[in-house]
Amino acid sequence: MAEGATQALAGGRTIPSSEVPFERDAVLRALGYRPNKTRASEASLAAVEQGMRQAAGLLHPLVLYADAALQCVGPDAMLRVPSLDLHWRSPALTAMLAGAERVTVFAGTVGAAIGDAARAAMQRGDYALGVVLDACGSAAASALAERARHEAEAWARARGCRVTAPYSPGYRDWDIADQEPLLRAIEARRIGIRTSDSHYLLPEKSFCGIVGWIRGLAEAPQASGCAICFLPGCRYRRMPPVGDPGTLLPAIPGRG
Amino acid sequence: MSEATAGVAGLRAPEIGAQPRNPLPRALRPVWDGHILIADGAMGTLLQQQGLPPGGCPEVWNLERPEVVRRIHEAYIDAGARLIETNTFGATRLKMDAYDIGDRVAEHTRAAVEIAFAAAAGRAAVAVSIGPLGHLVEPLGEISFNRAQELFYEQTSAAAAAGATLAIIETMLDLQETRAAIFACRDAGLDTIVQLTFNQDGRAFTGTEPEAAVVVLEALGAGVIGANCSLGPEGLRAVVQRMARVASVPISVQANAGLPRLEDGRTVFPMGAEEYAGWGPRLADAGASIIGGCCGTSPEHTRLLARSLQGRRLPGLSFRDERLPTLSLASRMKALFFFDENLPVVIGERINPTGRKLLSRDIRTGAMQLVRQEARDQVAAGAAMLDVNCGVPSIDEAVAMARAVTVVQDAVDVPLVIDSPGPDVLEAGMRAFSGKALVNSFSGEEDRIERVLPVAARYGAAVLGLTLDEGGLPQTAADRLRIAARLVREAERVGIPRQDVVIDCLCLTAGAQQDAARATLEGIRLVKRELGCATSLGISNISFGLPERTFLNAVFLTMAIQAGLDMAIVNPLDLRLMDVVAASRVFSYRDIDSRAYIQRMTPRKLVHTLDEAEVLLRKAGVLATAPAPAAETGGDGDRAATGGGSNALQASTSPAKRPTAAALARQQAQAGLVKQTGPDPERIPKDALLRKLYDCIVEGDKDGIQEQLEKALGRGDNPVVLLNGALIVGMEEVGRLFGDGTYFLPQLMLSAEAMKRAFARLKPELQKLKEGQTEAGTVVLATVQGDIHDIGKNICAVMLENHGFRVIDLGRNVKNDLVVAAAREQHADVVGLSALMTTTMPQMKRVIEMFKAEGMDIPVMVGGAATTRHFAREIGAAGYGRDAQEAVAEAKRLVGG
Repeated sequence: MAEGATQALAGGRTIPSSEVPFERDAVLRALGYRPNKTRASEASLAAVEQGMRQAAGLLHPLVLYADAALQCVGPDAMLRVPSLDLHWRSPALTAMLAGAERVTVFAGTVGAAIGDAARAAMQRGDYALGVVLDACGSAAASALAERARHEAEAWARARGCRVTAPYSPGYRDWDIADQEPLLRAIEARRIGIRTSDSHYLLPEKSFCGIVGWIRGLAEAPQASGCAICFLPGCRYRRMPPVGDPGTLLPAIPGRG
Repeated sequence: MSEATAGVAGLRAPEIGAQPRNPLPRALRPVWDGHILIADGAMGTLLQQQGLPPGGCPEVWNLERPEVVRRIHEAYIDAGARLIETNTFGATRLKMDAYDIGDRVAEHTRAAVEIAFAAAAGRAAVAVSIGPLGHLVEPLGEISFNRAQELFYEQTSAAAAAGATLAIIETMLDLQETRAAIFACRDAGLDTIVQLTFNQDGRAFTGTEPEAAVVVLEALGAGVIGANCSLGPEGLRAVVQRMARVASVPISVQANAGLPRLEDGRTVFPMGAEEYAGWGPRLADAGASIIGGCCGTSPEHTRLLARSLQGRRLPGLSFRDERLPTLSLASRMKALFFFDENLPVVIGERINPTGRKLLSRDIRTGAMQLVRQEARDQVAAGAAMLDVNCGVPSIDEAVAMARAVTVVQDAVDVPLVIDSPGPDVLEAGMRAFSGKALVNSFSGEEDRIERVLPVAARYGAAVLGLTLDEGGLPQTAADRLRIAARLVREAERVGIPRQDVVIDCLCLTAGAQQDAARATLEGIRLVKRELGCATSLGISNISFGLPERTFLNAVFLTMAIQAGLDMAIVNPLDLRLMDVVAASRVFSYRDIDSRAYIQRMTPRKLVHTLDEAEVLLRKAGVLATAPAPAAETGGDGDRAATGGGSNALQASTSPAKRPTAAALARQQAQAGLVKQTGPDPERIPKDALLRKLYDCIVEGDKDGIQEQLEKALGRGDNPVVLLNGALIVGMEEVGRLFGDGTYFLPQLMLSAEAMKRAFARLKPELQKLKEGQTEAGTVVLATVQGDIHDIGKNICAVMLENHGFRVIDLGRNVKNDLVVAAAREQHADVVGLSALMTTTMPQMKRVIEMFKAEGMDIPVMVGGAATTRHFAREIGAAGYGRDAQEAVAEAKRLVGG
């Protein structure tokens, strides 16, 4: 992942790009590689390596955070973050944040260059390179999101708190339109993140969400990611599906 | 000193390389006073200013206008030059043939030397200028190495006869041609300054990096090494820096007056004298000891240059990497320094025909295809050097060795180990090799010392010494050290420096002589400590006759590395051995942050390579009934069983023999491991050429497919048959492999690239036949309004095109009414819509409703991450594709195909 892209941002904290490992496994997974099943040819692996090398120079990771006190008010359990002028009404979110005193709001991106390069490769007929670059962007964005969660967790632990699983607008009953105020609250435009009219994050390889802080250190981590997702037939699943199928959809982009 | 070394007291020689390897050229000693030496500048352009017509032969004026040549020399000396070059840059037969004076090389050379000495009159040293022949030497060109040496010798012998003792071989493009020139100089008794010309990428024309040039040229005895012409002073500064870092001899630089440009048909050098002189101190700062000019410079450039460097002391070896001297080897392209961080070095052992019938035949016939493949495979597996042995009975081994070395150095860019018991074979190999080789081997036997060492010294090779002598195999570590000490002495006696002597403490068979293993390890420790030499070992002998040879080899290699082994001759395709090397580099703090180790291991966590797949399939018994490897490999399997590692994959690692992914999948299917749902095997083309086309598609071989296509068209095949009978069938197979997870996305895309290339070639042929109607139908594709993710849609477009559809790709974030309008205008047979998330999926339903409202009966199929077949049904879509392959199938279904 490219160095030097992060910068100190007032009101938040940043993650150095060097601390966001760019995992080959994740790239392969995003490309539909199936362990013990796929038989990758040398040429295809070479394309992956080539794409990863190119991608390393195209990724410009940036993350923003803001911590603030959380209030749960009213009979319908509306959540409010007064200092950031945020308020949400989502039973699922309220359940997720049960017991939380504070939240960390975060947003991150690996930049637009990787998506542009993937598109350009497809247009000139370098199809394999195009899909690999796209997968690299997705893998990097996922890694960055994971790193952001760890950073928030460490920040909270240092203050005697544990954190909830990360959660994003669009999950379950949390309105995806709530991305806009969330991004606005932490001034995500400073790192180039915005939304389209149809609530897509731009650049494509971007994310945003929150984690709640709960007083006291946890005995066991909360489930998140694939563990709480039941999308049938998802080829990006990292673990066997458990529980009842629901209507959750993947929030991290990567296919279109 | 240890007890074991008591008998060889006084052998410690930490003074290795304390002095520069090669002496300063005799001619320079009187004029070199400890300051930067100023060399002269251009000759040809000044002759033209004096009336030599453009394109005229400058050397002719040595006889016709000697006073003009002399005045130019004097002007340079008056300006401060203390090294001048004779007007003989083009005085070689092939160049002078162009002026019909090819038979007068000696005459012109003699005259030029006499003019220069007369002009110098003791004030400056005279060097005979030797330029390139104008034709590349084999294997890059058509002139043999021997012929090149003869051509240069014609010039150098005449120069020596006229009193010259120094030659400046300059503006050389190719290391092999440079070597021929050096040999010609040495045969004539001339000392040498050797200068290559470099491109903007920092390499010589034929790929040589500055460090490799230094390693090779120093070993051949060059007294000064440098760069000239080419880039101008700014561009050459980095080259000088890189050379100075690794050289023990002075560095020279003679740059052009900037990068030339063409003005009104004339070559113009833009850099004035003052600007050029301003680069003098910077070139000295970079490590140059001799600084002069080349094309476009003049005595005025020299005068100002001398002034800018007045009083500037020589840099000596102050720029040199402090870890030098150490063993260094080189290919034509790259140098390999045996610095600690590069150890242990793996030498690939597989180019050795012992017990390998196919490889023997390959060498005997001169085909060298397997040799080339072995070279590539081993280097790809991590070998930093390759051993080349051509010991096939009843052949001219010297000829075979020269051919093999030529082939291998063309295929890979690592240094070579020339391996033969025959001194004539060793010489043939060294002569053919453009780099600095390691000669394998000599020993304490008198005959080997007398016959191998002088040849190795002549070619500037390092030598591998076996610790055995007339007394036979040594019994103890002390015996090994005693013999090694003698080997070092004998090598130094013929001029091979100690750092170029590699000692092999001999690995014997533990099954027969168990105590010998310990003596070998102790011998390595002693040789390293007492003699300071690099050590090498052929590992595989240790395990002969014992079970689990790969395991034993790996353990012994670990112990040898711990004892100080610098290089191991092993089978680099043996994963366990290579893992040991990688791991040892972690624990010896050579692989900083374990980066190389992690890189090596990480893919194997997940990537199921073909080799690993084969191992698994063999374990499962799936490949047990596959065609017997012996049928393909002859005795190659014996090699794995008797030496060179016992990797089960040895006999099948060559791509030529390796089963394809598709073949593996088929074998799996036949074994019942995977449900065969693909096309009937009967549909796979029977015709050999069609089958190759089919395979190119299945394997995604976009380069190979063009060749096969041309062959098929050349023999008159119907392009429609080629398309439908091989290419489309191939794509269907690819789709099946992708669908069941055998292939992943990059493989699908590589096949698509091959298909696209093939289709582009076939299209005009199809049109000639007026069979353009082979199109399966027209598909209008779009990512829906508000959605900006289009990679999935792009993949669908590629796949649909490759299956013969005409695709109108409207792009991403396409407004609904535009989709409808395009479908109408393009007479679409199918419309395909893509969306990533739930927020934009409703647009799909709206488009379908618009079609209905317009009364257009065009089937719409949908796809994208969040879509499902259930959703498609709900919104009234005619089709649904989970991925691109399903999209193709749906499109075909919808058009009735």
